[in-house]
Amino acid sequence: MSEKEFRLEPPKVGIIKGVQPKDIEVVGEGVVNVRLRAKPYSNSYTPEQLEKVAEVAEEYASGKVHLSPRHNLEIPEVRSGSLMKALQELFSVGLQAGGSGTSVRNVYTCPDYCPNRVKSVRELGAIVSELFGDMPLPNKLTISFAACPSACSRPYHVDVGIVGVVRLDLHQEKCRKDCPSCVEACPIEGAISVENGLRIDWQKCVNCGRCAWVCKEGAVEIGKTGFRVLIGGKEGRDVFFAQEYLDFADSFEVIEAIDRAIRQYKKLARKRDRRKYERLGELVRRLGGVEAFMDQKI
Amino acid sequence: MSNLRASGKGKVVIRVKPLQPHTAEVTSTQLRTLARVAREYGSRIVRTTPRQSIEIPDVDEHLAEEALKELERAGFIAGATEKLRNVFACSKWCLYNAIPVAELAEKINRKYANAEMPAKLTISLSGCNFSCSRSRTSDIGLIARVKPEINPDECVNCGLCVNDPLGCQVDALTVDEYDALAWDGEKCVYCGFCSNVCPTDAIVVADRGFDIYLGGGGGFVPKKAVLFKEFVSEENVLDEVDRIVERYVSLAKPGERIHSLLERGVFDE
Repeated sequence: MSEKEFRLEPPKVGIIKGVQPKDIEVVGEGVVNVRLRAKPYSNSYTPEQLEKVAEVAEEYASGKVHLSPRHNLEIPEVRSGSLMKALQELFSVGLQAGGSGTSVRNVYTCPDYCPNRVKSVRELGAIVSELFGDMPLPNKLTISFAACPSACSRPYHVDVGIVGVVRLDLHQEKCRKDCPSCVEACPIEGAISVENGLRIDWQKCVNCGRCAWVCKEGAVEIGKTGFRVLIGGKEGRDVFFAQEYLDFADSFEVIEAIDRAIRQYKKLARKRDRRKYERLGELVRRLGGVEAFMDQKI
Repeated sequence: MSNLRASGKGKVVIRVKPLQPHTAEVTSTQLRTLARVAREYGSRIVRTTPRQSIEIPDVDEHLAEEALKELERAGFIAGATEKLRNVFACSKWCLYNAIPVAELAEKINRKYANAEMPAKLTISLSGCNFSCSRSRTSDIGLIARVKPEINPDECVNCGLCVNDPLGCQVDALTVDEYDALAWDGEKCVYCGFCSNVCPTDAIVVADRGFDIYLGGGGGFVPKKAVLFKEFVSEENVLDEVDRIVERYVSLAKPGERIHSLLERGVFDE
């Protein structure tokens, strides 16, 4: 395909009305902010992509790039007349406008190089992004994957949060009782104790597996790894923490749960005010909990 | 080096935060430096974190210092583990900035660039009550707001502040059947955008300030921040942050976060 034949459709999301700082009178006129996401999905950028963003920001905008918390790069002050040209250039390195407005925002995933991860989430995140990314919805919907329960990527603060967790196998007879390493490695006070034999308080345990990493006796081992699925969290004006829907799911069940949550949200969301629909977290609260929301017949 | 984390055999992750010329954003020159460092020292990966830091993984341990120096020359500083995390600030290009916060973020980042903290400390600044930069789930959260002053007598019924595309996003402003402008303080997010849109003096900004939230956090057990001080003026807000950090540093046990100090009553006045 020659370059002349190629025509990019104007994007439905990713273009944000914005202002030039200190020049607020020209609101929205002449400039827009472009929010970019990698497509095909990636939770990082390549040198070539960054160089292209630098080039586009210099040529068509102010040469600055804003960093967003959901892996997006944002080029502010792109001159409206050059928008399609800028997008075409960015398209050539796998960057597209996206991740804004009332749609599924950019999927957030932890990096594979983190030593704390119990389960890699990048590939599953890519599949979810491919299936649901930028899908129009009643309001925005955020999906974040955390590779371990320390939850740096904030799965409790988003509409659908997925957390990599372990199932521990205990072999009490192997515990030396005088070795404190598992107690020291445990991030939650009182979740694991050894003085009266190896004991785990399952109410407190967060299933991160750090005790198993340090136990040299094999008294506590990682059995299986899976995902915890959390639904209905929200940041911003009101903060809700997402509630557990599944405590131990495989990849397929995770995708099924996300699909179900999105379908339910589409069908059940009501208008919050004249302009906007309620967020998924608000809907879950209105219906009285995650089960009520997910199991509601429609 | 404390600001590097292991990422496999003999490899480390370099985490930096943009400081010069600005925090929360990078220039095209800085992007090119990141690209070059990732290509020369790393594995061609550059990742942006949820706190606007930037990570380059898989750097050879013995080359890490060299790579970091190169990034520092470009205006980045190392974003360490047991230090102040990158001060998170929302976009200054957003329509709904009561007060653009990037500059304040920069001041805080600069001031505590190398200060050791008892545990990690997250400070987030939001330009309006929508709090996109997660001010209500950070150790210290600042949310900018304006006090609007409504003068219905000055209103010329142009409808700009009510109707799309520039009208109030939360319907705090309404015009009734007699064309009278009314304001609902319950719905208002105090962003002050209406005063920019208004062609007359019907809506003006009476005052600007910050609400300060304390004790939020993510992690194993997420915490919601509580409102600590309301409407601190722009001039005083940096001093107020200093006082909070000072008290935190002097009274926290190693590894203790602010929410735990709140539970102990350290911040009661």
